[in-house]
Amino acid sequence: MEKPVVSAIAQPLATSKKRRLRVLNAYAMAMAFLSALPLLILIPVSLNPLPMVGFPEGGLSFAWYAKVFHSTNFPEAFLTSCFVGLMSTTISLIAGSLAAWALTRSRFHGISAIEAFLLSPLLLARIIYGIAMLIVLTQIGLIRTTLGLVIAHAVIVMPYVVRIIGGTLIGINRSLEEAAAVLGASQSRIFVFVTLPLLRPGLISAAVFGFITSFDEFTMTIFLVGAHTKTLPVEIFRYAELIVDPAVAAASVMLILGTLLGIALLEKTLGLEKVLKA
Amino acid sequence: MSALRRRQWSVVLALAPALLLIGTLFLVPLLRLAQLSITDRYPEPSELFTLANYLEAVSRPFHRNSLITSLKLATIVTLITLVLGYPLAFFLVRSTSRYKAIVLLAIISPLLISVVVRSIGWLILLGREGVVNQLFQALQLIQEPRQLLFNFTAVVIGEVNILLPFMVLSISTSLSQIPASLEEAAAVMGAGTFRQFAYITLPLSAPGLISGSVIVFVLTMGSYVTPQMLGGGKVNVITTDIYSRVMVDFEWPMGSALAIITLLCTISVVLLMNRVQTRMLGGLARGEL
Repeated sequence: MEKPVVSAIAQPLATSKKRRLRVLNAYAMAMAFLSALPLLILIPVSLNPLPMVGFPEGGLSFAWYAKVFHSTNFPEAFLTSCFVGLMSTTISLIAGSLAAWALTRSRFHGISAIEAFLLSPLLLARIIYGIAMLIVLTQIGLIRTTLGLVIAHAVIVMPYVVRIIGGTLIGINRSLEEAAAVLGASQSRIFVFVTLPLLRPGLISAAVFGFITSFDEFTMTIFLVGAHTKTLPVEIFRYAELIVDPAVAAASVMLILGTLLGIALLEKTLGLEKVLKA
Repeated sequence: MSALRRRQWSVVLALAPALLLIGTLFLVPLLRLAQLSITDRYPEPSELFTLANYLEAVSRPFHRNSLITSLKLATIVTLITLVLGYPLAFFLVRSTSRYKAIVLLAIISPLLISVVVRSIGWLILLGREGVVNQLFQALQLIQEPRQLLFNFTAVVIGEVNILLPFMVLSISTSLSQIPASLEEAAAVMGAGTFRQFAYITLPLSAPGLISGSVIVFVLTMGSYVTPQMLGGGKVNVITTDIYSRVMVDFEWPMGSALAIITLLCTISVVLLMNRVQTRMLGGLARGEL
């Protein structure tokens, strides 16, 4: 008796739901395409044999990629970006994971205030921090130096490390650490031999995400670079201010490919969505 | 007792580097910025406390207009990302499409791929000789190529592209916490699609909607690359104004004052939205919404 009643309601429900989902799918695909379009367009432009910004006609050419390496400042800027990224990520990884450990593995008065303080750089517009650092680095003589860039980038990256590592630490089964403590291991031994190995995916994700964040940073960095300490995004920006040609498209394509490599690594370790929502 | 002591010490030591870093290289520079904003000139100020910069910022039409343009831009971008982002978040949470991963990657890529590179893409797409113009001409929708760049609309397009992922992730977090059984229950009770959405899905996703709006608004207020590159000097917002004051005219105290004003504007918006959220959620708990 009951069966036909249920299917009578469920059947039209299911079909109208299916139709709606199809519309939604089409919309999502269209938005994904539009979102990616400004990146996708760079590929054909960079392969144009003519010095024109448009679809290549009559063959593809990698000449612009060679030009990027031989007659622009992009390689030098790339090395600066790599150095700043590696150094600032290392500093913030050490300071940030220690802090995340303290914040998740102890309870004391004012702990949430300390957490908010350590995460506060996330909330400040980069341009405001850029001017603030311009003033201070000028005063201590580190303006336009790579060291100045490294410390400014470390401040930007550290909050992300605290959040990603903190999130991973919360997910680690506490009883493993407690077991080690019961067996007589000291705090530092527990950290090195139990917590750290379990933290590996979080550490790798934080390092990759931190490096990408530093590598892509522009709005603060533009206030702090000098003629010979330009990072890659700043160099690309300066170049594009003068001319948008296939060479800058080629440099951009290489930058995108490098970032995609990092994204793949994030997906493999903690998972992209988890890292971004941390 | 001594074990507890040691534990306390290890916590203090673990926190020390991070606190030192943020304290000396974040808090101190910000205080220095605030201090500089109330002096008359840099490096040798003759007045250590003056509100002249702030008065000039609100009285001179150029600064006032750039602040107004920023607020307008942030509002418009927030509304557009809200409308475009809601269905996308819904798709990411509910769809079983096998293209979901690709859609997710495409939508959230602006979070990880350089804004400068993306803006160059838009310059190529929207330029006078650009792809959009060529396409429209080929379709004979327009006769002459039009300048689609260097205006307010171009900046809005660029900003929406970059900020959409923040809205989508924020809303999808909220949506994923709504049990599907609630909507099913409503459907069984005879509620149509619209009623299900208006009385269940929308109110329950309100927190994500509000926090997404706050994030997008704040980030638009602080964005510099898109207004500069796609506005091409013709769209003056507060950030481009700040950049010119600091890096072109070397009027650091004035630039600092404008930066502090931007900060205060964003803080007030965040506080306002917090109040709205508390009220709405309070109403929700009482069953008013």
